[in-house]
Amino acid sequence: MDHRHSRRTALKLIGAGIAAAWWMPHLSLANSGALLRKPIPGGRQLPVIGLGTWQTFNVGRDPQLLDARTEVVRAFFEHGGGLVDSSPMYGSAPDVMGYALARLGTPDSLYTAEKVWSPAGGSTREQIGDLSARWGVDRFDLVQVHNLTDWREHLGVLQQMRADGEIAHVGITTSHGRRHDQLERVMREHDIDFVQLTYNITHRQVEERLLPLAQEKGIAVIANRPYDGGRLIRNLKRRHEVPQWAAEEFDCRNWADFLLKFIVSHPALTCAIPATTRVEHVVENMRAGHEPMPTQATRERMIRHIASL
Amino acid sequence: MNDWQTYRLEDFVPFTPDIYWRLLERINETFWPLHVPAVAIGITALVLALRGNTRMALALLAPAWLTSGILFHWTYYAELNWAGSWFGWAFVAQAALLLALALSAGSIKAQGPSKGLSTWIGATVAAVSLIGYPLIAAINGAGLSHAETYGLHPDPTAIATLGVLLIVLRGPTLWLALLIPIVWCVIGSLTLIAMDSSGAPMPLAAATIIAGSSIARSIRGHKKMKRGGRD
Repeated sequence: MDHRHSRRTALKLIGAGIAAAWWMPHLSLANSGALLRKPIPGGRQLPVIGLGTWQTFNVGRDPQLLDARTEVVRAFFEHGGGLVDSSPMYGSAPDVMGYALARLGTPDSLYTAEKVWSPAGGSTREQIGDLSARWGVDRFDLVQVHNLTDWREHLGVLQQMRADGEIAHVGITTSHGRRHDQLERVMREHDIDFVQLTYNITHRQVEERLLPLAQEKGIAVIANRPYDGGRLIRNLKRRHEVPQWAAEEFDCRNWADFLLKFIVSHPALTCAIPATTRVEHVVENMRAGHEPMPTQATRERMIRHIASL
Repeated sequence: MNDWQTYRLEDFVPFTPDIYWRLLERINETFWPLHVPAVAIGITALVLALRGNTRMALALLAPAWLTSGILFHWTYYAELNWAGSWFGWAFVAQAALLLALALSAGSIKAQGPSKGLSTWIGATVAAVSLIGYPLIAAINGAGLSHAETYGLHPDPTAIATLGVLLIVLRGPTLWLALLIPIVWCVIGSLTLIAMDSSGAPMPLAAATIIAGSSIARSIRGHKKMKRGGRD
Protein backbone atom coordinates (compact mmCIF):
# COMPACT_ATOMS: atom_id res chain seq x y z
CA MET A 1 0.00 0.00 0.00
CA ASP A 2 1.27 3.51 -0.81
CA HIS A 3 1.33 5.11 2.63
CA ARG A 4 1.87 8.62 1.23
CA HIS A 5 -1.20 8.13 -0.92
CA SER A 6 -3.28 6.75 1.93
CA ARG A 7 -2.19 9.61 4.22
CA ARG A 8 -3.17 12.13 1.53
CA THR A 9 -6.51 10.34 1.17
CA ALA A 10 -7.01 10.40 4.91
CA LEU A 11 -6.21 14.13 5.06
CA LYS A 12 -8.65 14.75 2.22
CA LEU A 13 -11.32 12.81 4.06
CA ILE A 14 -10.69 14.76 7.26
CA GLY A 15 -10.82 18.02 5.29
CA ALA A 16 -14.05 16.96 3.62
CA GLY A 17 -15.48 16.03 7.01
CA ILE A 18 -14.61 19.41 8.49
CA ALA A 19 -16.10 21.16 5.44
CA ALA A 20 -19.24 19.06 5.65
CA ALA A 21 -19.59 19.77 9.35
CA TRP A 22 -19.17 23.48 8.61
CA TRP A 23 -21.76 23.57 5.85
CA MET A 24 -24.15 20.97 7.28
CA PRO A 25 -24.18 21.59 11.02
CA HIS A 26 -26.31 18.51 11.75
CA LEU A 27 -23.40 16.32 10.66
CA SER A 28 -21.28 17.81 13.40
CA LEU A 29 -23.64 16.21 15.95
CA ALA A 30 -21.92 12.94 15.21
CA ASN A 31 -18.77 14.36 16.81
CA SER A 32 -20.53 15.40 20.03
CA GLY A 33 -21.49 13.18 22.92
CA ALA A 34 -24.91 11.59 23.12
CA LEU A 35 -28.10 13.65 23.28
CA LEU A 36 -28.83 13.91 26.97
CA ARG A 37 -32.16 12.48 28.16
CA LYS A 38 -33.72 12.78 31.57
CA PRO A 39 -36.37 10.65 33.24
CA ILE A 40 -39.95 11.81 33.75
CA PRO A 41 -42.61 10.26 36.00
CA GLY A 42 -43.54 6.85 34.65
CA GLY A 43 -40.02 6.04 33.57
CA ARG A 44 -39.87 7.51 30.07
CA GLN A 45 -36.75 9.47 29.15
CA LEU A 46 -37.10 12.87 27.45
CA PRO A 47 -34.42 14.62 25.36
CA VAL A 48 -33.38 17.73 27.29
CA ILE A 49 -34.09 20.05 24.37
CA GLY A 50 -37.71 20.50 23.32
CA LEU A 51 -39.49 22.88 20.98
CA GLY A 52 -41.58 25.88 22.05
CA THR A 53 -44.18 27.38 19.73
CA TRP A 54 -45.10 30.74 21.34
CA GLN A 55 -45.17 33.45 18.64
CA THR A 56 -43.07 31.43 16.19
CA PHE A 57 -45.72 28.90 15.14
CA ASN A 58 -48.65 31.32 14.99
CA VAL A 59 -48.59 31.70 11.19
CA GLY A 60 -52.29 31.40 10.42
CA ARG A 61 -53.09 29.83 7.05
CA ASP A 62 -50.05 31.19 5.22
CA PRO A 63 -48.97 28.24 3.00
CA GLN A 64 -45.38 29.47 2.73
CA LEU A 65 -44.91 29.78 6.49
CA LEU A 66 -46.80 26.55 7.18
CA ASP A 67 -44.25 24.72 5.03
CA ALA A 68 -41.37 26.62 6.65
CA ARG A 69 -42.52 25.61 10.15
CA THR A 70 -42.97 22.02 8.97
CA GLU A 71 -39.27 22.06 8.06
CA VAL A 72 -38.46 23.31 11.56
CA VAL A 73 -40.40 20.38 13.04
CA ARG A 74 -38.74 17.98 10.61
CA ALA A 75 -35.28 19.17 11.66
CA PHE A 76 -36.28 18.91 15.30
CA PHE A 77 -37.30 15.26 14.91
CA GLU A 78 -34.32 14.42 12.69
CA HIS A 79 -32.04 15.58 15.48
CA GLY A 80 -33.74 13.50 18.11
CA GLY A 81 -36.25 16.05 19.44
CA GLY A 82 -39.12 14.90 21.62
CA LEU A 83 -41.21 17.41 23.55
CA VAL A 84 -43.22 20.01 21.60
CA ASP A 85 -45.09 22.52 23.76
CA SER A 86 -48.06 24.61 22.67
CA SER A 87 -51.13 26.34 24.07
CA PRO A 88 -54.58 27.48 23.00
CA MET A 89 -53.25 30.97 23.81
CA TYR A 90 -50.71 30.70 20.99
CA GLY A 91 -53.17 31.51 18.21
CA SER A 92 -52.86 29.09 15.29
CA ALA A 93 -49.81 27.23 16.71
CA PRO A 94 -51.78 24.01 17.49
CA ASP A 95 -53.14 24.02 13.90
CA VAL A 96 -49.63 24.50 12.56
CA MET A 97 -48.43 21.52 14.57
CA GLY A 98 -51.34 19.56 13.08
CA TYR A 99 -50.26 20.63 9.60
CA ALA A 100 -46.65 19.59 10.24
CA LEU A 101 -47.55 16.23 11.79
CA ALA A 102 -49.94 15.43 8.94
CA ARG A 103 -47.00 15.80 6.55
CA LEU A 104 -44.23 14.31 8.66
CA GLY A 105 -46.11 11.65 10.58
CA THR A 106 -45.79 11.26 14.34
CA PRO A 107 -42.41 9.80 15.28
CA ASP A 108 -42.11 7.66 18.41
CA SER A 109 -39.92 10.35 19.97
CA LEU A 110 -42.76 12.92 19.90
CA TYR A 111 -43.96 13.97 23.34
CA THR A 112 -46.97 16.26 23.01
CA ALA A 113 -47.43 18.97 25.63
CA GLU A 114 -50.51 21.21 25.58
CA LYS A 115 -52.30 23.51 27.96
CA VAL A 116 -55.75 24.48 29.15
CA TRP A 117 -56.60 28.05 30.10
CA SER A 118 -59.36 30.22 31.44
CA PRO A 119 -62.23 30.42 31.62
CA ALA A 120 -62.47 26.85 32.83
CA GLY A 121 -66.22 26.76 33.46
CA GLY A 122 -66.40 23.01 32.88
CA SER A 123 -64.54 23.32 29.56
CA THR A 124 -61.36 21.36 30.38
CA ARG A 125 -62.28 18.24 28.41
CA GLU A 126 -63.76 20.31 25.60
CA GLN A 127 -60.56 22.38 25.33
CA ILE A 128 -58.43 19.24 25.20
CA GLY A 129 -60.73 17.61 22.61
CA ASP A 130 -60.55 20.72 20.44
CA LEU A 131 -56.75 20.88 20.73
CA SER A 132 -56.21 17.19 19.94
CA ALA A 133 -58.32 17.64 16.79
CA ARG A 134 -56.17 20.64 15.83
CA TRP A 135 -52.94 18.67 16.39
CA GLY A 136 -54.42 15.58 14.76
CA VAL A 137 -53.40 13.35 17.66
CA ASP A 138 -55.48 10.86 19.65
CA ARG A 139 -54.27 12.09 23.00
CA PHE A 140 -51.71 14.36 24.59
CA ASP A 141 -48.83 13.12 26.67
CA LEU A 142 -48.91 16.14 28.93
CA VAL A 143 -51.65 18.68 29.61
CA GLN A 144 -50.72 21.69 31.74
CA VAL A 145 -52.78 24.39 33.40
CA HIS A 146 -51.67 27.57 31.62
CA ASN A 147 -50.30 30.23 33.98
CA LEU A 148 -52.25 28.82 36.93
CA THR A 149 -55.54 30.08 35.49
CA ASP A 150 -58.57 28.41 37.12
CA TRP A 151 -56.09 25.81 38.26
CA ARG A 152 -58.25 24.12 40.93
CA GLU A 153 -61.00 23.20 38.49
CA HIS A 154 -58.63 22.27 35.65
CA LEU A 155 -56.33 20.23 37.86
CA GLY A 156 -59.16 18.09 39.21
CA VAL A 157 -60.33 17.20 35.71
CA LEU A 158 -56.78 16.58 34.44
CA GLN A 159 -56.00 14.26 37.34
CA GLN A 160 -59.17 12.30 36.58
CA MET A 161 -58.21 12.11 32.88
CA ARG A 162 -54.77 10.84 33.86
CA ALA A 163 -56.33 8.19 36.09
CA ASP A 164 -58.55 7.14 33.18
CA GLY A 165 -55.56 6.93 30.85
CA GLU A 166 -56.78 9.78 28.60
CA ILE A 167 -53.56 11.72 29.15
CA ALA A 168 -50.21 10.55 30.47
CA HIS A 169 -49.13 13.46 32.63
CA VAL A 170 -50.49 16.54 34.38
CA GLY A 171 -48.66 19.82 34.81
CA ILE A 172 -48.97 23.46 35.69
CA THR A 173 -47.15 26.46 34.22
CA THR A 174 -46.02 29.96 34.96
CA SER A 175 -43.57 32.30 33.27
CA HIS A 176 -41.64 35.52 33.83
CA GLY A 177 -41.29 34.65 37.55
CA ARG A 178 -44.99 35.19 38.23
CA ARG A 179 -46.95 33.69 41.15
CA HIS A 180 -44.13 31.51 42.46
CA ASP A 181 -45.64 31.31 45.95
CA GLN A 182 -48.84 29.89 44.57
CA LEU A 183 -46.95 27.53 42.28
CA GLU A 184 -44.97 26.26 45.25
CA ARG A 185 -48.19 25.55 47.17
CA VAL A 186 -49.57 23.58 44.21
CA MET A 187 -46.34 21.61 43.94
CA ARG A 188 -46.42 20.79 47.66
CA GLU A 189 -50.10 19.99 47.99
CA HIS A 190 -51.16 18.45 44.67
CA ASP A 191 -50.22 15.41 42.66
CA ILE A 192 -48.65 16.82 39.50
CA ASP A 193 -46.03 15.34 37.17
CA PHE A 194 -44.64 18.47 35.51
CA VAL A 195 -44.08 22.10 36.28
CA GLN A 196 -43.16 24.66 33.62
CA LEU A 197 -41.46 27.88 34.63
CA THR A 198 -39.01 30.49 33.41
CA TYR A 199 -35.40 29.57 34.00
CA ASN A 200 -32.34 30.92 32.23
CA ILE A 201 -28.93 32.23 33.18
CA THR A 202 -30.33 35.72 33.90
CA HIS A 203 -33.54 34.56 35.63
CA ARG A 204 -32.56 32.10 38.35
CA GLN A 205 -35.03 32.85 41.17
CA VAL A 206 -36.44 29.31 40.87
CA GLU A 207 -33.10 27.86 42.01
CA GLU A 208 -33.91 28.91 45.58
CA ARG A 209 -37.11 26.98 46.32
CA LEU A 210 -38.93 25.66 43.26
CA LEU A 211 -36.19 23.56 41.65
CA PRO A 212 -35.13 21.87 44.92
CA LEU A 213 -38.81 21.20 45.66
CA ALA A 214 -39.31 19.66 42.21
CA GLN A 215 -36.33 17.38 42.81
CA GLU A 216 -37.62 16.40 46.23
CA LYS A 217 -41.11 15.61 44.89
CA GLY A 218 -39.95 13.95 41.66
CA ILE A 219 -41.68 16.56 39.49
CA ALA A 220 -40.26 17.02 35.99
CA VAL A 221 -39.37 20.63 35.11
CA ILE A 222 -39.73 22.38 31.74
CA ALA A 223 -37.81 25.65 31.37
CA ASN A 224 -39.54 28.24 29.19
CA ARG A 225 -37.98 31.46 27.86
CA PRO A 226 -34.47 29.92 27.78
CA TYR A 227 -33.28 32.89 25.71
CA ASP A 228 -35.43 35.38 27.65
CA GLY A 229 -37.77 35.79 24.71
CA GLY A 230 -34.85 35.88 22.25
CA ARG A 231 -33.46 39.11 23.65
CA LEU A 232 -30.69 37.43 25.66
CA ILE A 233 -29.14 35.44 22.82
CA ARG A 234 -29.58 38.30 20.31
CA ASN A 235 -27.68 40.70 22.55
CA LEU A 236 -24.94 38.19 23.30
CA LYS A 237 -24.47 37.26 19.64
CA ARG A 238 -24.36 40.93 18.63
CA ARG A 239 -21.85 42.08 21.21
CA HIS A 240 -19.76 39.24 22.59
CA GLU A 241 -17.73 36.19 21.69
CA VAL A 242 -18.25 32.90 23.48
CA PRO A 243 -15.37 32.57 26.00
CA GLN A 244 -12.61 30.19 25.07
CA TRP A 245 -12.71 28.42 28.45
CA ALA A 246 -16.30 27.35 27.73
CA ALA A 247 -15.17 25.51 24.61
CA GLU A 248 -12.45 23.78 26.58
CA GLU A 249 -14.60 22.86 29.56
CA PHE A 250 -17.81 21.63 27.90
CA ASP A 251 -17.37 21.79 24.14
CA CYS A 252 -19.30 25.07 23.89
CA ARG A 253 -19.22 26.40 20.34
CA ASN A 254 -21.81 29.18 20.37
CA TRP A 255 -24.17 31.11 22.61
CA ALA A 256 -26.99 28.59 22.10
CA ASP A 257 -24.68 25.95 23.60
CA PHE A 258 -23.73 28.26 26.44
CA LEU A 259 -27.27 29.25 27.40
CA LEU A 260 -29.05 25.93 26.88
CA LYS A 261 -26.36 23.75 28.43
CA PHE A 262 -26.46 26.00 31.47
CA ILE A 263 -30.20 25.33 31.85
CA VAL A 264 -30.35 21.61 31.19
CA SER A 265 -27.28 20.85 33.28
CA HIS A 266 -29.20 21.85 36.41
CA PRO A 267 -29.99 18.54 38.09
CA ALA A 268 -33.67 19.45 38.62
CA LEU A 269 -34.27 20.50 35.01
CA THR A 270 -35.81 18.05 32.60
CA CYS A 271 -36.15 20.00 29.37
CA ALA A 272 -35.72 23.49 27.89
CA ILE A 273 -38.09 24.62 25.15
CA PRO A 274 -36.50 27.23 22.88
CA ALA A 275 -38.80 28.48 20.11
CA THR A 276 -37.53 29.36 16.68
CA THR A 277 -38.63 29.98 13.11
CA ARG A 278 -35.39 28.74 11.55
CA VAL A 279 -34.07 25.28 10.78
CA GLU A 280 -30.45 26.24 11.47
CA HIS A 281 -31.43 27.43 14.94
CA VAL A 282 -33.21 24.14 15.69
CA VAL A 283 -30.05 22.30 14.72
CA GLU A 284 -28.01 24.62 16.94
CA ASN A 285 -30.45 24.15 19.82
CA MET A 286 -30.47 20.36 19.50
CA ARG A 287 -26.71 20.26 19.48
CA ALA A 288 -26.72 22.01 22.84
CA GLY A 289 -28.48 18.99 24.30
CA HIS A 290 -25.46 16.79 23.62
CA GLU A 291 -22.91 15.96 26.25
CA PRO A 292 -20.56 17.09 27.70
CA MET A 293 -22.42 19.36 30.09
CA PRO A 294 -20.87 21.96 32.42
CA THR A 295 -20.05 20.89 35.96
CA GLN A 296 -21.42 22.78 38.97
CA ALA A 297 -18.17 24.74 39.24
CA THR A 298 -18.36 25.63 35.56
CA ARG A 299 -22.00 26.68 35.91
CA GLU A 300 -20.97 29.14 38.60
CA ARG A 301 -18.25 30.47 36.33
CA MET A 302 -20.83 30.86 33.55
CA ILE A 303 -23.07 32.94 35.85
CA ARG A 304 -20.15 35.18 36.81
CA HIS A 305 -19.16 35.56 33.17
CA ILE A 306 -22.63 36.66 32.03
CA ALA A 307 -22.93 39.03 35.01
CA SER A 308 -19.62 40.61 34.02
CA LEU A 309 -20.70 41.43 30.45
CA MET B 1 -43.26 41.74 42.51
CA ASN B 2 -46.57 42.83 41.01
CA ASP B 3 -47.47 40.52 38.09
CA TRP B 4 -48.12 43.45 35.77
CA GLN B 5 -44.59 44.75 36.26
CA THR B 6 -43.25 41.54 34.73
CA TYR B 7 -45.06 42.02 31.40
CA ARG B 8 -43.32 43.51 28.41
CA LEU B 9 -45.00 44.97 25.35
CA GLU B 10 -43.93 41.98 23.23
CA ASP B 11 -45.84 39.64 25.57
CA PHE B 12 -49.06 41.03 24.06
CA VAL B 13 -48.05 40.44 20.44
CA PRO B 14 -48.55 36.72 19.71
CA PHE B 15 -46.44 36.51 16.54
CA THR B 16 -42.92 37.29 15.36
CA PRO B 17 -42.15 40.26 13.08
CA ASP B 18 -41.48 38.03 10.05
CA ILE B 19 -44.99 36.57 10.37
CA TYR B 20 -46.48 40.08 10.40
CA TRP B 21 -44.45 41.25 7.38
CA ARG B 22 -45.49 38.11 5.54
CA LEU B 23 -49.13 38.92 6.36
CA LEU B 24 -48.74 42.32 4.71
CA GLU B 25 -47.13 40.63 1.72
CA ARG B 26 -49.99 38.12 1.40
CA ILE B 27 -52.59 40.88 1.46
CA ASN B 28 -50.70 42.81 -1.21
CA GLU B 29 -50.32 39.71 -3.39
CA THR B 30 -53.99 38.83 -3.06
CA PHE B 31 -55.58 42.23 -3.56
CA TRP B 32 -53.29 43.99 -6.02
CA PRO B 33 -54.31 46.18 -7.96
CA LEU B 34 -57.12 47.16 -5.59
CA HIS B 35 -54.57 49.51 -4.02
CA VAL B 36 -54.82 51.94 -6.92
CA PRO B 37 -58.56 52.69 -6.72
CA ALA B 38 -58.36 52.63 -2.91
CA VAL B 39 -55.72 55.39 -2.85
CA ALA B 40 -57.54 57.27 -5.62
CA ILE B 41 -60.72 57.31 -3.52
CA GLY B 42 -58.71 58.52 -0.53
CA ILE B 43 -57.15 61.36 -2.55
CA THR B 44 -60.62 62.30 -3.84
CA ALA B 45 -61.91 62.44 -0.26
CA LEU B 46 -59.05 64.76 0.66
CA VAL B 47 -59.65 67.05 -2.33
CA LEU B 48 -63.39 67.21 -1.60
CA ALA B 49 -62.63 68.01 2.04
CA LEU B 50 -60.40 70.91 0.97
CA ARG B 51 -63.20 72.15 -1.29
CA GLY B 52 -65.64 72.10 1.60
CA ASN B 53 -67.72 69.12 0.43
CA THR B 54 -67.99 67.55 3.89
CA ARG B 55 -70.76 65.11 3.01
CA MET B 56 -68.90 63.45 0.11
CA ALA B 57 -65.53 63.53 1.88
CA LEU B 58 -66.95 61.64 4.85
CA ALA B 59 -68.85 59.22 2.61
CA LEU B 60 -65.69 58.40 0.66
CA LEU B 61 -63.73 57.62 3.85
CA ALA B 62 -66.22 54.95 4.92
CA PRO B 63 -65.35 52.21 2.34
CA ALA B 64 -61.68 52.24 3.42
CA TRP B 65 -62.70 51.40 7.01
CA LEU B 66 -65.03 48.70 5.79
CA THR B 67 -62.38 47.04 3.59
CA SER B 68 -59.65 47.35 6.26
CA GLY B 69 -62.00 45.84 8.81
CA ILE B 70 -63.18 42.98 6.64
CA LEU B 71 -60.07 42.20 4.59
CA PHE B 72 -57.27 43.03 6.97
CA HIS B 73 -58.70 42.35 10.42
CA TRP B 74 -61.32 39.67 9.95
CA THR B 75 -59.80 37.77 7.04
CA TYR B 76 -56.10 37.88 7.94
CA TYR B 77 -55.13 39.49 11.23
CA ALA B 78 -57.69 37.51 13.27
CA GLU B 79 -55.81 34.34 12.22
CA LEU B 80 -52.85 35.56 14.27
CA ASN B 81 -54.46 37.58 17.04
CA TRP B 82 -57.81 36.84 18.69
CA ALA B 83 -58.24 40.60 19.15
CA GLY B 84 -58.32 40.94 15.35
CA SER B 85 -62.04 40.16 15.22
CA TRP B 86 -62.72 42.93 17.78
CA PHE B 87 -60.59 45.35 15.80
CA GLY B 88 -62.61 44.36 12.73
CA TRP B 89 -65.84 45.30 14.50
CA ALA B 90 -64.35 48.65 15.53
CA PHE B 91 -63.40 49.38 11.92
CA VAL B 92 -66.87 48.46 10.65
CA ALA B 93 -68.37 50.68 13.38
CA GLN B 94 -66.16 53.58 12.22
CA ALA B 95 -67.35 53.04 8.64
CA ALA B 96 -70.96 53.20 9.86
CA LEU B 97 -70.22 56.33 11.88
CA LEU B 98 -68.63 58.08 8.90
CA LEU B 99 -71.63 57.22 6.72
CA ALA B 100 -74.04 58.44 9.40
CA LEU B 101 -72.08 61.69 9.68
CA ALA B 102 -72.10 62.04 5.89
CA LEU B 103 -75.88 61.66 5.83
CA SER B 104 -76.31 64.25 8.54
CA ALA B 105 -73.62 66.57 7.19
CA GLY B 106 -76.05 69.45 6.85
CA SER B 107 -76.68 69.53 10.58
CA ILE B 108 -73.16 68.89 11.90
CA LYS B 109 -70.55 71.50 12.67
CA ALA B 110 -68.52 71.41 9.48
CA GLN B 111 -65.69 73.64 8.39
CA GLY B 112 -65.68 75.37 5.03
CA PRO B 113 -62.69 75.51 2.68
CA SER B 114 -60.66 77.37 5.32
CA LYS B 115 -56.99 78.11 4.77
CA GLY B 116 -56.32 77.92 8.52
CA LEU B 117 -53.33 76.17 10.04
CA SER B 118 -55.33 73.12 11.13
CA THR B 119 -56.55 72.62 7.56
CA TRP B 120 -52.98 72.60 6.29
CA ILE B 121 -51.94 70.21 9.04
CA GLY B 122 -54.85 67.89 8.25
CA ALA B 123 -54.11 68.00 4.52
CA THR B 124 -50.40 67.30 5.06
CA VAL B 125 -51.04 64.35 7.40
CA ALA B 126 -53.62 62.85 5.01
CA ALA B 127 -51.44 63.38 1.93
CA VAL B 128 -48.38 61.84 3.57
CA SER B 129 -50.44 58.83 4.61
CA LEU B 130 -52.07 58.37 1.20
CA ILE B 131 -48.97 58.82 -0.93
CA GLY B 132 -45.96 58.51 1.38
CA TYR B 133 -46.98 55.60 3.61
CA PRO B 134 -46.67 52.88 0.95
CA LEU B 135 -43.13 54.07 0.27
CA ILE B 136 -41.92 53.52 3.83
CA ALA B 137 -41.46 49.80 3.23
CA ALA B 138 -39.35 50.55 0.15
CA ILE B 139 -37.26 53.14 2.01
CA ASN B 140 -36.49 50.88 4.99
CA GLY B 141 -35.43 48.08 2.66
CA ALA B 142 -38.38 45.72 3.12
CA GLY B 143 -39.55 46.22 -0.48
CA LEU B 144 -42.87 47.31 -1.93
CA SER B 145 -44.34 43.87 -1.31
CA HIS B 146 -44.55 44.91 2.36
CA ALA B 147 -46.07 48.31 1.56
CA GLU B 148 -49.07 49.44 3.60
CA THR B 149 -51.77 51.23 1.65
CA TYR B 150 -54.82 53.32 2.50
CA GLY B 151 -58.01 51.27 2.25
CA LEU B 152 -56.34 47.89 2.72
CA HIS B 153 -54.13 48.33 5.75
CA PRO B 154 -55.33 49.91 8.97
CA ASP B 155 -52.46 52.30 9.82
CA PRO B 156 -52.55 54.48 6.65
CA THR B 157 -56.35 54.26 6.66
CA ALA B 158 -56.54 55.62 10.21
CA ILE B 159 -53.90 58.31 9.63
CA ALA B 160 -55.43 59.64 6.39
CA THR B 161 -58.86 59.66 8.05
CA LEU B 162 -57.51 61.72 10.96
CA GLY B 163 -56.22 64.33 8.50
CA VAL B 164 -59.49 64.60 6.55
CA LEU B 165 -61.58 64.74 9.73
CA LEU B 166 -59.52 67.63 11.06
CA ILE B 167 -60.34 69.54 7.87
CA VAL B 168 -64.09 68.91 7.74
CA LEU B 169 -65.33 68.56 11.31
CA ARG B 170 -65.45 70.66 14.47
CA GLY B 171 -66.34 70.32 18.15
CA PRO B 172 -67.77 67.17 19.77
CA THR B 173 -68.56 65.65 16.36
CA LEU B 174 -64.88 65.82 15.46
CA TRP B 175 -63.84 64.10 18.70
CA LEU B 176 -66.47 61.41 18.24
CA ALA B 177 -65.16 60.67 14.74
CA LEU B 178 -61.50 60.81 15.90
CA LEU B 179 -61.92 58.33 18.74
CA ILE B 180 -61.51 54.99 16.91
CA PRO B 181 -58.77 56.21 14.52
CA ILE B 182 -56.76 57.61 17.45
CA VAL B 183 -57.17 54.42 19.51
CA TRP B 184 -56.10 52.38 16.49
CA CYS B 185 -53.03 54.57 15.93
CA VAL B 186 -51.97 53.92 19.54
CA ILE B 187 -52.49 50.15 19.10
CA GLY B 188 -50.73 50.21 15.72
CA SER B 189 -47.68 52.00 17.10
CA LEU B 190 -47.46 49.76 20.18
CA THR B 191 -47.60 46.67 17.96
CA LEU B 192 -44.80 48.01 15.77
CA ILE B 193 -42.74 49.05 18.82
CA ALA B 194 -43.04 45.50 20.17
CA MET B 195 -41.71 44.25 16.83
CA ASP B 196 -38.85 46.77 16.86
CA SER B 197 -40.04 48.31 13.59
CA SER B 198 -38.51 51.59 12.44
CA GLY B 199 -41.97 52.85 11.37
CA ALA B 200 -43.38 52.42 14.88
CA PRO B 201 -43.67 56.11 15.84
CA MET B 202 -45.65 57.16 12.75
CA PRO B 203 -49.25 56.29 13.72
CA LEU B 204 -48.77 57.65 17.24
CA ALA B 205 -47.11 60.82 15.91
CA ALA B 206 -49.99 61.39 13.48
CA ALA B 207 -52.58 60.88 16.23
CA THR B 208 -50.70 63.29 18.51
CA ILE B 209 -50.45 65.95 15.80
CA ILE B 210 -54.15 65.72 14.92
CA ALA B 211 -55.32 65.61 18.55
CA GLY B 212 -53.02 68.53 19.41
CA SER B 213 -54.24 70.57 16.45
CA SER B 214 -57.88 69.88 17.36
CA ILE B 215 -57.30 71.01 20.94
CA ALA B 216 -55.39 74.12 19.83
CA ARG B 217 -58.16 75.04 17.39
CA SER B 218 -60.82 74.57 20.08
CA ILE B 219 -58.89 76.83 22.46
CA ARG B 220 -58.46 79.48 19.76
CA GLY B 221 -62.16 79.27 18.91
CA HIS B 222 -63.10 79.58 22.58
CA LYS B 223 -60.90 82.66 23.03
CA LYS B 224 -62.34 84.25 19.88
CA MET B 225 -65.86 83.68 21.15
CA LYS B 226 -64.97 85.31 24.49
CA ARG B 227 -63.46 88.32 22.73
CA GLY B 228 -66.55 88.51 20.52
CA GLY B 229 -68.74 88.53 23.66
CA ARG B 230 -66.86 91.50 25.14
CA ASP B 231 -66.91 93.57 21.94
